[in-house]
Amino acid sequence: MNGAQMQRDKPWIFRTYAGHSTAAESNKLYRGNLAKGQTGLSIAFDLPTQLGYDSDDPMSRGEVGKVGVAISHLGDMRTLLDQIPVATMNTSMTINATACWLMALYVAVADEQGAPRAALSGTTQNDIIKEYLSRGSYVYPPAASLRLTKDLILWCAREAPKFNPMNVCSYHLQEAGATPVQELSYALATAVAVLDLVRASGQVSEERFADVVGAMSFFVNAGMRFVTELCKMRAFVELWDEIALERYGVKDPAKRRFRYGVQVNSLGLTEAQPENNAYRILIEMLSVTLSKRARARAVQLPAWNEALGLPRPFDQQWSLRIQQIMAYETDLLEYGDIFDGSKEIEAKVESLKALARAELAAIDEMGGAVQAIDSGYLKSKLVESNTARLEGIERGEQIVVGVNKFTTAEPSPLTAGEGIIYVPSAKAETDQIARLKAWREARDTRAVRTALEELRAAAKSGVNIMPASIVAAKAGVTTGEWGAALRGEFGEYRAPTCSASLSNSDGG
Amino acid sequence: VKFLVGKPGLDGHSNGAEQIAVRATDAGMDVIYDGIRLTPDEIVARAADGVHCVGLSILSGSHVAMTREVLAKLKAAGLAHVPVVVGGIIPPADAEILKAEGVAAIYTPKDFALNGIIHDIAGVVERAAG
Repeated sequence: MNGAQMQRDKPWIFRTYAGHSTAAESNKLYRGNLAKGQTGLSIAFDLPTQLGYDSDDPMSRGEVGKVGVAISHLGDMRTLLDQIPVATMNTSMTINATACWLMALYVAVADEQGAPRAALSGTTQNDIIKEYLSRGSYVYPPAASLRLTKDLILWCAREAPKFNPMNVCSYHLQEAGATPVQELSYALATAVAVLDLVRASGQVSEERFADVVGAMSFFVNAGMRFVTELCKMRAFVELWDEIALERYGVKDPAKRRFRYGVQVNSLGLTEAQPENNAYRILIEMLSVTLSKRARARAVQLPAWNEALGLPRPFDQQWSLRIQQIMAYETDLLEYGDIFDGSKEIEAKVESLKALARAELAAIDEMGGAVQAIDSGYLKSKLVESNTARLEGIERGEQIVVGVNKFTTAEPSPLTAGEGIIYVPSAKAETDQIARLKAWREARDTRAVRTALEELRAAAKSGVNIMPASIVAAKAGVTTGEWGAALRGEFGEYRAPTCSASLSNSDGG
Repeated sequence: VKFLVGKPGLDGHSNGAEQIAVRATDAGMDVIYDGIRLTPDEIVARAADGVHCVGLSILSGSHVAMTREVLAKLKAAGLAHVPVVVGGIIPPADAEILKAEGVAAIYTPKDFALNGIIHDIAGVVERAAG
């Protein structure tokens, strides 16, 4: 058979989760990655940006440009996307508490570039529920946060229907120790909680609601037990179809499709003998690419040296090449589903589905995902699973090569010497702050004041926050000002300390 | 032994801090863990409560700046004698810097045996007392 004549499926989108220091540095990195054949962007923001602080806020000290890029205003977003055509780019933004603001900045740049809003594609993560559970980047209390989630969903449905306004995350649950059944049930319960809220708002017609369901996307994880993980993905597809049909009455099968992006597991990557991680990453990718019926729409892979520090451009390139080799050199994309009819796979999928349905019913019984977080149920379940996982490794029941078995190794030339991880410039923070100060001085303060008043009014009245946010972005409002305006209206959330659910200790 | 587990900075990845808190409690320590996003001032104020060791968990890459600030503020509060240990993704070069500034022990992902870490912390406390 001649491969060239064969009908091949289009490969998934290749991404690399990236961003650090300043917008200019990250833009350079993105353009380099795109030149190497990456087909989508995945933007990592620094913690101040994720939490609605300006780079010169006392809370931001030491954190500027560290886990991602600092974006304090429209000028930064413009620089970040310089020479990148927003109209044709598929951009994933890992942003939650401040998702509406970063989307407003993105839309403002798209408007400047002349890109039609209806052409915008990509995702904002916008899954605040898992922030309370595992990732910790929440700002506002749950009710206000969910209202922002809903506003962005409704705005996208109206103005940017190709954009996925929410990426429901099971990824972080696995990193926090979730079992496959917990990943399935907690992520689906999150999607249901948000969709129920959007439906109850009465702001979207029955017919348009099917589009809202269809725009939901997911962000999952894949670990080393790759056969189970493959079955988990097939279970996700079938359960989501079931929920969309039975709970929401979505008639069009295309709108019931489980669409997901993936970052494979970092939890299982080891600091010891880190070169082995290259194989682990490849094996983990199998579970989200092999099944045609449950194949990822977008894949981003960690780098082999992630447990050591920040990856260098070379390390990210090495991971991108894994995807390209799988998609272009192998014959994977020439076949239909290669597991249909396998009794072994089917039995595992059915068993995962049954267990997940039972857990979903239990969460429903408690009043849904939000209540199950409030009561501490979900968090304590996750901590329990993680404890069991770690104990398994310590006792040697779960083998981790190079860590608790086969620890004798040759010295690795890959980790010898200096410069084996990326060290961001120490100047990034001071540079960023200097540019922010100049930005504040150059803008029209009256326009800023008016935009902030309108933003506060929108927050208070409950109208969609997006239009006022886009106006604010264009007026030159900063990330910290947007964050503070909403903190003023919504207050700030302080999670109950989980000491009580962690142990029997009365300390703390 | 009274052990304060602190997460300074904006990072919210609390899995490591939680697991240490669980295991230290199981080992009979009196653990104080107030959750994520504490300021160095809040951590020092808690440490003044007669703790025997302060453990910091930092995964955002800001470990040097954060730890320096906590050490300086402990000193200013007359708590320089309380040993500080740090856990996170800490490259060896940074570990050297932190040790030179007075950090008693550093734990990274290769220290997967939690009981070993807790045992080690107990040793740190003993040496500080002795």
